[in-house]
Amino acid sequence: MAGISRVFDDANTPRTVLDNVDFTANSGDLVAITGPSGSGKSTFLHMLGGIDIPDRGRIVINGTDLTSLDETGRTLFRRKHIGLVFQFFNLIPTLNVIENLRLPLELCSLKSDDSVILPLLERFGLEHQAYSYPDLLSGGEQQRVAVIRAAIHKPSLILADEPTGNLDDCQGHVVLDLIRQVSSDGSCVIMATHSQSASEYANRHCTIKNGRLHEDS
Amino acid sequence: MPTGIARSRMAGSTKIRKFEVSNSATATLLKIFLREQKKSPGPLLLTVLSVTIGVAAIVGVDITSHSALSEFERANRLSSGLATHQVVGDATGLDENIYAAIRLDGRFPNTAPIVQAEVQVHEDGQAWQLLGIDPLSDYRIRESALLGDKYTEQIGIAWPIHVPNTETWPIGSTLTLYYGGRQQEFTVAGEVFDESGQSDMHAEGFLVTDIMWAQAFLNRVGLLTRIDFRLDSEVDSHTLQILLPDSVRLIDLQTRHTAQKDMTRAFRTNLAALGYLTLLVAMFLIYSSTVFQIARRRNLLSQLRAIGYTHHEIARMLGTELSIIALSGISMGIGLGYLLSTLMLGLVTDTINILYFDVAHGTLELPTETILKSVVMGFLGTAIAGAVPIREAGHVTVQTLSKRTLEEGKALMLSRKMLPVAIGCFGLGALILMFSGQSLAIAFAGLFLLVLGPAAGTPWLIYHICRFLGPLAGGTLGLVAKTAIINIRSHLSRTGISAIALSLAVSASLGVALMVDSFRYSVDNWISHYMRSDLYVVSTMPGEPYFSESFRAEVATVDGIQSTGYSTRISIQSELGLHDLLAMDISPSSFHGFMILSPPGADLWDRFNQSRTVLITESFANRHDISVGDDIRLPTTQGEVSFEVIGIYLDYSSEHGLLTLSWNNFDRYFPNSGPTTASMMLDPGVILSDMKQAIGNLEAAPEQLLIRSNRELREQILNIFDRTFEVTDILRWLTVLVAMTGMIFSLVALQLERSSLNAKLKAVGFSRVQLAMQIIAEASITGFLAGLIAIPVGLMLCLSLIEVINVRSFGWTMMTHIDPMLVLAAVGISTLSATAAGIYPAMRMWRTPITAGLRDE
Repeated sequence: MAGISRVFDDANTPRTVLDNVDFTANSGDLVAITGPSGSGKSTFLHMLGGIDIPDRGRIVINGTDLTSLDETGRTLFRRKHIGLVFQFFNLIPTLNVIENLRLPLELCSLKSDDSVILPLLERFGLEHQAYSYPDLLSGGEQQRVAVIRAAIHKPSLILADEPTGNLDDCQGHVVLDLIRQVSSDGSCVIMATHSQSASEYANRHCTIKNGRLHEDS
Repeated sequence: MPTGIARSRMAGSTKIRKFEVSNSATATLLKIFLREQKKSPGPLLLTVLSVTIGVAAIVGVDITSHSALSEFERANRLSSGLATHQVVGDATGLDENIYAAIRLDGRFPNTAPIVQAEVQVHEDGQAWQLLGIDPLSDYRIRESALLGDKYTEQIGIAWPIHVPNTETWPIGSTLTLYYGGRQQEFTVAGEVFDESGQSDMHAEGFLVTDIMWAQAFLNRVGLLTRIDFRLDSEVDSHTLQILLPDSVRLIDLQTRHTAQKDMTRAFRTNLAALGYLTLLVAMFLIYSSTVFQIARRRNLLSQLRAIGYTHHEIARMLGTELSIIALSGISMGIGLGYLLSTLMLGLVTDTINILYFDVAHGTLELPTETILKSVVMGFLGTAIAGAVPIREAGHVTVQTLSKRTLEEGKALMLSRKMLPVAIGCFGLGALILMFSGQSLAIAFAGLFLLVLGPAAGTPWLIYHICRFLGPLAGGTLGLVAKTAIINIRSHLSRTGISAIALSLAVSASLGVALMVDSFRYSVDNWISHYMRSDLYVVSTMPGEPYFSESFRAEVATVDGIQSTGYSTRISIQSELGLHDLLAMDISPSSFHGFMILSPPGADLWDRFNQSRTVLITESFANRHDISVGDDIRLPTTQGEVSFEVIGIYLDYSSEHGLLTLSWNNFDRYFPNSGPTTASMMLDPGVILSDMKQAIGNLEAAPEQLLIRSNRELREQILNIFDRTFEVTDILRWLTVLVAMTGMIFSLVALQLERSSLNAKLKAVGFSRVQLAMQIIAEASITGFLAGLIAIPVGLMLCLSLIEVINVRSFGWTMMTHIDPMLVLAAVGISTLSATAAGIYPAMRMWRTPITAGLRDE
């Protein structure tokens, strides 16, 4: 990410959320992005996920310049190379756990039968919920499924926006453990968080303030 | 299946030209959508219902019109068979020697004589057409012969008769027929056979016998009703014409049937227009429900976008879903339309009988073209209504996941967006209406746009009225009304489209109601002028419609009758087509009841009685573009004779127009058997019932007389008038029903979205009564405002219908009569239907516990 700037128009008043931000990450990195509310953490993640586009600058992931792609191009790129985790879990309510996990594999035309998914669920202690629908799962379980769904097709980059914001400490730690395992499997994980304890799981720490990104040493 | 990507640089960005998602991912997407619908089927069912009602209206009208016309054609086919021409005489009949001469001539082998008359059957009390045929020649016209091979089996049976269905009247049973004061028992000898040799269940209304028995029974020995011909060329018809004496007429059946069908065209077009109006209103409902279905699943769509589905893939799937909905709606719409047509067929055939020609009620048919039309219109309507929301749905962004509400902010935007559409539609509609020439279909298209335009501006108007009312309501109407008005403004993105549909339906309903009322008012006024006599007498005796000279002489001697007028009406085919000719033998005072439109204020009595002059009705003048001073050539007993048009008068008795001759002219140029209607002016103080009895008791009076007072006849005419508009009323109410469904739908959708807000309001102390009142008030105010907006649109529609559509459809003008009660009723209907629509959402809110609403949050 080089020279990224993003300005929003709030009631006809320009508000600079990101100002000439440079950022680089590698596979295996687990980066915690912190900062006050409204500082631009989510915007930063949206840029990286191709959900939003910067007003200025370039974002290159695995050699592909996201800023040169149109909406469809970015979606197709995201489908294959990026996984997303949200604060409110956002599992598809009408699909059970296995079907939710199968979706990214099907989209990428990867093998998606139970032999691929069940071992993962066993590994993360969710095999008993394989055929349950999201509304029957606890918040922690839903978020663990969401993390597995984001990582199942082995994307290069996983973006997590306040992944523990809706969980108690105990459930939060279980989810963060899972995120760390995903990172150690080779994906780069970038996590926006308010939580000090969540950021302690990261091996890199960055702060966004006044539109600028600072990496803490 | 691997994802194939081809990129090309374009304006600094890479375009993905090809993208394919795997079949399993597509199947999963479909599964997600289907499960979502199953979980909450209400909106889906309402969308299906919208398509269903829209299609049903079109199918209902189409089947009804088609079935009524088919019955007409079937009756013609049964009666005329393969005949291309007919030779007819006057009402007394045709000398059978003419037939003998034609057969002897030898050039026209395909010919058959017919004796036909309406008779009454004692066993069922109904009127039937008795057809007397010559079995030895009839097969040349009706290929397999009406009586079939079994004809020979009846030889030896006295007074044999063939019936449509021997289950009702078994072979060997007897039927008693009445005609002209005579009665005769016939023995059922068999069934009427159709061309395929099968029993023709559709031949209702026809009884068939040998011509010899028919002539004997009808007292027409030596006479025929007509001679049917199957001519191969135009040359044959010219040759035949030369062979015929001047006193008989050769009729081209194809031309006559086409002319008869053409007469009903305007009526059918008007009905079809109402059907399409219902579909148009339904389209708003489809749009509204599609928007809601998408808004309801906004979160889901965002998730799918986050996972990696492209907007094309999502839009494609939503399109597929809508196609399935359309298909279901169309299938059910065809079924419902069929049911609707069972309700309407009687009304439409009655109207055709009253206005145009006799046709039996017949059976319903579902023609292939109706199915095709409903499929095309159903899909087209759904596609047009669903295209915009689906396109917008494809562009739901992933950021939506972090937002709670999106649409409400668009309320003003929507109303602003619709404003140019409204102005554009209105302007275009007005232009089309002005420059549509004589085309009724194009005029209707213009009218649709003219009404649609202001309706599309409804959200904008409601927004600004509420903006104005908001501050006022707070002080005077209390918290509930104030909150309701604020809600209407802020939720226009949900209710705006339904308000358009409601406004459109109510304005159309009001416009049509005002037009019908103006029409009724004009007819009533016309009757007051035209019908000045105290008593009207007609003979209802089958075979004896005419008043004899002796009856007329006797009437002249009855005390208490001031003056008597006589008239008759015949159908003629001139160079201008098939039309009615009215002959009148009336007094000058009755003549002055004619409302002469041109030349204005002229006294035409003297000229009316001069030779070769004719009066024409306004509709006749408009249809044939004829003015005063023009000549009309009519086929008479003395060959073609020109009659000068001396005046044009107002008349609502025949929409295809009428020529009116003095009795002198009629007697001189047309073969006739006497008048069929008598109208009597009585001396003051004469008791009507006594006079009726006196006339009925006259020695020369026909056995069956119908004597009606001025008031009775007037009531009957207006009853008939009302009956002819019953079918219009059904379609009008159907349109309002669709709009009301749309309003219910929008309000339920709104309440679903507002469940958490309602829960919060309950939590801070709002009572359920207050919230329910607020929901109902919101609906009522929206309905009231939509009704108010519908008033000027309805008035404009009424004027357009009177000034443009009616003149083109029927050729007559009418007075514009605005009944304030109808206007108030329209606002009332709009308010009440919207209020009724608010009850269910209010009940839903009432039942929802606070905890459930807060959980949603």
